Amino acid sequence: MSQTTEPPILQRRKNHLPEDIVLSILTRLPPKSVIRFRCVCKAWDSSITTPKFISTHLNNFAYDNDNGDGYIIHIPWYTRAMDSSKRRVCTVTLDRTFDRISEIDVPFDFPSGSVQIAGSCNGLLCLAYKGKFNIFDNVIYLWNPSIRKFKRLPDSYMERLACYGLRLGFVYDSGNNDYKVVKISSYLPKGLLPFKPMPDEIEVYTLSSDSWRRVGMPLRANVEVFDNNFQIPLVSGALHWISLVLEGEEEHKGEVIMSFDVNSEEFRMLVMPDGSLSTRRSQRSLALFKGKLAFITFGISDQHGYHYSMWVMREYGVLESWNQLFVVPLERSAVCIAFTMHGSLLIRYLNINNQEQKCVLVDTETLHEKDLDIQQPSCVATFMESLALLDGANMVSY
Amino acid sequence: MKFCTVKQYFDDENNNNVTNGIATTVIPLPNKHLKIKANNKEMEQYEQELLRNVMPQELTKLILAANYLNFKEALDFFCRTVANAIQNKSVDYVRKFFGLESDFEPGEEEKLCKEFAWSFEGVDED
Repeated sequence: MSQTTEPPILQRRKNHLPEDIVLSILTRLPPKSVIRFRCVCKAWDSSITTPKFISTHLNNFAYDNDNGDGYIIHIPWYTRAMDSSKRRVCTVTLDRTFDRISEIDVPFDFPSGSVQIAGSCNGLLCLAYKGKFNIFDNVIYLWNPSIRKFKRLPDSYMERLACYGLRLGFVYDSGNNDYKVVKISSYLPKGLLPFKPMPDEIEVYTLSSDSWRRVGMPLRANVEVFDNNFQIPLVSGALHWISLVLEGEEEHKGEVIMSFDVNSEEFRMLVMPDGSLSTRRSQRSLALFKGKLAFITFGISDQHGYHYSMWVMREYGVLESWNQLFVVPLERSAVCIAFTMHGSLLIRYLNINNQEQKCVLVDTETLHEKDLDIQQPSCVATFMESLALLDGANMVSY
Repeated sequence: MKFCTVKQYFDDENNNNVTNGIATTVIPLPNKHLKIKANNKEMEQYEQELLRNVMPQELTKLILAANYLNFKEALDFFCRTVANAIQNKSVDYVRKFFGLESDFEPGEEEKLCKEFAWSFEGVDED
């Protein structure tokens, strides 16, 4: 910096911004800039990598978004065998319009098979690999594309041989400032007829301990592993999934919504919405719709033909507040994939009877459909840029 | 309530360096901010205008003024403006801007730059 005739001390005082203001400016920068500016000086390098800076940055940069526009990230489920040497590519789009913003290479290998986005929290993605013969493997990664770091989770120790279904949830436990992965494993019935259904096993991985542990459920139940499209929704600090109660006084309830508080790790049950069980449907999922718990089904009926129906729990925990929002007819068979933060629904029309497969974005208010350029069945999740896990231990940088 | 310290500010000898230009920018800001707080497009335009008319170094003076006046919204706004102005700049530019010098050991800085090489892509020329 060029020196003037003024004594250095005066000049410093004149132009010098207090440290807290400098940090305030830094917390408003995109992650790529923050990482580059670690090279400015030692003080900046050490300040940037503190948990306090990372969480302030989350508030100031990621969440202080005037436009309210978030992002969506999507990745194809499969790589074809011939492409298996190529790494997968994710696409980032605007949440509202699905306009393509960028593409990101996945830095780790999944063998051919399918990949699932188990969750997306504070800019961290949890990706899981589902093996070739539909047998789940223990390959789970936590990945922050914005700072180019990832971590493969250690294997959990639950027996995998008889596991036929698996659901994963990924959450941030703000009470403990910790990230958790929740694994619900379903097992094949044991023994000969009459089959005795096996209850699910629940395991929780916490980043702080870098290990899995088993969590006991207060009753025996089986998670309904319908589909792996919607991430397990986090509402009011709890993960929710549809479960069939196996025994005990609750058995008469049949299907319930199991809720798992991520902080206290306690279970609760919620009742399914009225009318949700009446018709046979080909897809039934819980989802997050504009911050509320929603139940969405796709089915076919005489009255409506192909259609999807949606219920939203307007007031969390209050049974009467389940509100059937709409029944929307569709031209043909489809799968509901995800809600955007804006509240639009992503649907994939299936290629049955030589009709082309295509993805569309449906505005749930106007019912307007927008064709999307997503060629293959894909996982979809909300996304943001952040510095999450910049201070994480045992992360791989690339 | 935002103006209670303004008189104090001007009476304070240490702030003689604050020019009228800065005072005329900071003081009308509350009104402008309140009026257009809901309209983000206008704020963006105002920010662009600010960046065009005010040298980046002057922005630091605006920040100090807003800080002294305890004017949080203006402070946040100016910090964000500075962040937008420097986000694509080089490490050297940022050092000059904040009046900092590298205090890394020889070789340490190269090591860091190499580790984060990807973050240097697409940076503005100085």
